[in-house]
Amino acid sequence: MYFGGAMEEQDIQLTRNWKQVCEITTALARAYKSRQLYAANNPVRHTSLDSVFLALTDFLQQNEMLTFSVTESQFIYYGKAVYSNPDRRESPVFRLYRDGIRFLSFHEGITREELGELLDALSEVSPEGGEGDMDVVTQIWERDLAHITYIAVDDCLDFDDSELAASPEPQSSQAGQPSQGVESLDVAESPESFEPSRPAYLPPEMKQPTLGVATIVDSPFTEEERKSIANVFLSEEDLDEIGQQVLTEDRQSPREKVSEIFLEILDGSWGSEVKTDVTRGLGVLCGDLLEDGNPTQATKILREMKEFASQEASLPKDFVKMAKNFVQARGREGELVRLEPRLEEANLHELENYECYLCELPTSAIPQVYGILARARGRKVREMLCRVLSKMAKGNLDALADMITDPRWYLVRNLVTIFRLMKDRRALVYLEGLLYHEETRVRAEVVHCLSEIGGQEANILLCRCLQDSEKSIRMLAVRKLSREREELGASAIADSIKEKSFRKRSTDEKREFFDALGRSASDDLIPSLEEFITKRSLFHGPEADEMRRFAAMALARIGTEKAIGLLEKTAQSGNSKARKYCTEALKLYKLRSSVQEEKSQEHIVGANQRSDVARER
Amino acid sequence: MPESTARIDTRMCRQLVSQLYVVLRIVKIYEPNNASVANALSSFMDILRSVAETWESVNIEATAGCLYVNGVRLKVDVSGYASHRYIVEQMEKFGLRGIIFLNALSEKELAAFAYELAESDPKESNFDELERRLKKKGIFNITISKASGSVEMEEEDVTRKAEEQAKKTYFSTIKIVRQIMNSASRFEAVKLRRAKRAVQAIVDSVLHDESFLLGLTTIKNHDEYTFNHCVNVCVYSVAFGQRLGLSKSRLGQLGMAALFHDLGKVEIAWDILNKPEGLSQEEWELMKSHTVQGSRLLAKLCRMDEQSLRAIIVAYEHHVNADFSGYPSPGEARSLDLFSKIVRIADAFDAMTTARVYRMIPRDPHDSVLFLLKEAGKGFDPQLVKVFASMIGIYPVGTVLQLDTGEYAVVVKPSRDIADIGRPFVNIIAGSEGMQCGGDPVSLAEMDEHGNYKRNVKRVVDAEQFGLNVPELLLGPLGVEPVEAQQADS
Repeated sequence: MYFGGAMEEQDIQLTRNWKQVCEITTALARAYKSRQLYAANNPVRHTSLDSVFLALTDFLQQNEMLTFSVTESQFIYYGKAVYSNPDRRESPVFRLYRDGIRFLSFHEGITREELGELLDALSEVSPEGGEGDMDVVTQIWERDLAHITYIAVDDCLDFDDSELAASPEPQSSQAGQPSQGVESLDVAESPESFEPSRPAYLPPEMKQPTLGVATIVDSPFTEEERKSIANVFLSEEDLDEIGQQVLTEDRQSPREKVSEIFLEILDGSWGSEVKTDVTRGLGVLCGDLLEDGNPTQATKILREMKEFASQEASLPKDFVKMAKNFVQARGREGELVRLEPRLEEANLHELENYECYLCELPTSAIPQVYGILARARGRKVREMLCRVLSKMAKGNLDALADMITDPRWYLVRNLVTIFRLMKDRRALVYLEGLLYHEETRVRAEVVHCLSEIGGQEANILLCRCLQDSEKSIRMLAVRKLSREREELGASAIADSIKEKSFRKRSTDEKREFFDALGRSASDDLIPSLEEFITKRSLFHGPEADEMRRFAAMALARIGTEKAIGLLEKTAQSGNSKARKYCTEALKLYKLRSSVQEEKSQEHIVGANQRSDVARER
Repeated sequence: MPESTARIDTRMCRQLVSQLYVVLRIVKIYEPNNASVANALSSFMDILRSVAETWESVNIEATAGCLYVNGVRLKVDVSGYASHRYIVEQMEKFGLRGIIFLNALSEKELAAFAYELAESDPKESNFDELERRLKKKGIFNITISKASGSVEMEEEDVTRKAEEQAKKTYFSTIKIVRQIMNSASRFEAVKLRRAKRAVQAIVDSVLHDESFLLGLTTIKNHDEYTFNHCVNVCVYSVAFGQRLGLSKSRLGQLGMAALFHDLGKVEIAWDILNKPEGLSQEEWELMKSHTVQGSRLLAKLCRMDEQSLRAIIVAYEHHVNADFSGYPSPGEARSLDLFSKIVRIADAFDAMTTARVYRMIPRDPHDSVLFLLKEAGKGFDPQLVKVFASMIGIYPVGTVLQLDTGEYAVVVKPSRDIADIGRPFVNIIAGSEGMQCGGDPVSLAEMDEHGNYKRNVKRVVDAEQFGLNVPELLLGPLGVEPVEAQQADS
């Protein structure tokens, strides 16, 4: 008998199939890679998925099913490798193999969505593999893909592949069958020996049941039982309640609940072994909660542990030590680095919650928090971290000392901000060193900081800023000093004005200085101002005119009787320029006074109106 | 499966399926001119019109035990469970993949279709035959599509294969639980992957047909009580969760949590666990500690992923009652986890129905269900216990009954319909003359031509009294020594 014709035809078909299957698996690998490289809405992802879908459906129309076996680096179809990629990180084959899949089948009727889901399942599992929810088999199983089936083994590390390699085609289940291919359970262990069948008759007792035996129920239901049975029926309220329970369960993350349970256990009188394991579990949970975006619960855990750590008198020593270690461990870099990505995404309210958590950390965590500050990009995040560090370092300024010499100017500025928030005079010793920092923005922050700290020592340093090489710093410093209205500041400003170099300064700076002088000076400095206005021999040119004008303004700003008297007197003098500027200054003074009076009138009227309304009520 | 290209109101689709169920059931009881039939048909047409507003047709498809309406899968929940299952079963029986209702459908055609299905016997009418008869009756606005592959396989083969798989799964899971608990007792890291595969197989079995696995839970091995018990609780819990409409992923997590709810018992001395007399106060405190020990062991030996976390919660809470009595008592007022409440009920039921060294005669399954109902609100969540009772039935699988016909029967499957909760599916094991019978399961809800029930329960029979091996009655020879034989030997 000759079978050659049929065999040749089969070979031709197989060859054609191999070619097609090669194309399919290559397209599949490409689609898998595109999922790793591109975002969900990228057209490349869609086109690559379309390619594999079209190729696959074309094949399945003729062949109903496509099955290949899965090795570490290859897809095998009828004994031939149709795809090969030894790169474990890149290859979809290894991911399938590592998590136990040995055969993968596609069935006619497969949809594009199902194919996409399969690729998602492969992509969502980390390259290192997962023991928990995140293994490939579970991901595929959960997705309920009616037209994709698989055969998986229990544990790819222990399983002897040679058993399966012997069979050319798997007995993969039909598409649509619910037990979709988990034929992995240990067949050899099922009961093999069976007892012979029972005889084809039953004991005579079965014909006439014995009466009076306590275990026989005399009638179907008692009255009470009937009531119970009637209660089986679910009302609308019952259905709503059940629906709510299911919905709540679906939404709740179990981490919070488990952390509550662990805290309950720690509060109980369990042995040290139990508490050690539970504390370790809490530590893991704490980090996970931060990563999850739930710092509130993490804060609660930390506070409770700090509470335990503080109860040395009443709790066992080893547990107190454990609690202290727990608190310390929360401040380690490995822990804190997990919340960094969350900080950048957080809104204001969420940042407040993170702030609460970070403020609970021990002072040993200051360098780590500073490290986060160094890496932070968002302004709000940096502000929050500065607040945190200001609280952490309270009473422990030296913990921040090392950071003063940081070459990154923006961090030094942040450090000055922290000092500003702390308002601690002990920071002055560090700030003095920063008065001459090369970066203007740092020096500006120092000026702000000194102004916030206040007091004589801070003002002395502020006065030094009047000599800064940068105009913006000088102007900022003079504004801050003028608000103090102190004699020290006024003299320093006056001294600056008297310097020869002052005349070369810009108009706005001169105006600012004189204005500041006017706000902070008393009658003692009037003679100096008079000299600026009237003395001819010292001043020449527009610079001199400017000085006169601003000096007159300063007198108007001082506004005392003596100052205004001088202005009025000089306005009548023979010195035309002095007369001119003093007249201008007087006008300005009168205008300011009338505006102030109007404002105070309005204020009085407003106050009267409010009290009238209140009386009427 | 057609791709869904337009948004569809899944709530309306569920109503459509429920109403189709009503129509198919009502035509079995009433004549066409009956007002109830007319109302049912009219309601169905109203809902169909709402669903079909943006479509030319509405296609109800059944695949792998799930229903799809125009390509959108319908999620099962506790209120729609019975109707969902019924429609799936009917479609599977007739080898139907889909039923397509066209826009031009009239009530008359719908009635003709429903009555045709009611009168057809799936054993005698294959798909082609049914299709031909529908056309002959002038039903053109309802078309049916054939399920791919399933007609080639005999229904019996499918069932047999599924049952074999369920058996394999059950026994393998017991072995896996034993291995894992032994590892846990030595504080070795626990490889959960095998357990996960086993639970996934249990979920698949339950989703296909829970009754066979529930039948396996009648195997009560009091020597290896803990391992057997864990698997039984897992099966009950997964079946329970399915009723509540939990997703496959959640069912997997529930199954794992249920499987390891008693892991803490590895820390309890064997002689306390198996002490025949009552426990002293100290021993009782040790016994109660298994909940804390279990959650501690899970934290120590497993990764703290979502699955393990849910298992920790269940291990800790599964002895806390609905009224917060029980143990351990929760520190501050908080709600109990849904999974804990489910496992609480499943755990209690299996424990009551298993012989223990301190209680050699187990409680009857029927009696145990009534006990659970009685304790609703105190020991058990009141709504959940109702769902459990409706799942298990008033006469749970394995209950032996004497019927008013003189026959004896063993319950093999609870009724799907809660209205027939006292009328499960049974295998007749003995005729009125005492001769052993065989054959397919019969439903005690079956009625004769006069509308009367063919069979009624006269009484529950204690299987042990008559030396009946219930697991073998249900499942055939297992090769596992029955509890009764062990007791007889001792």
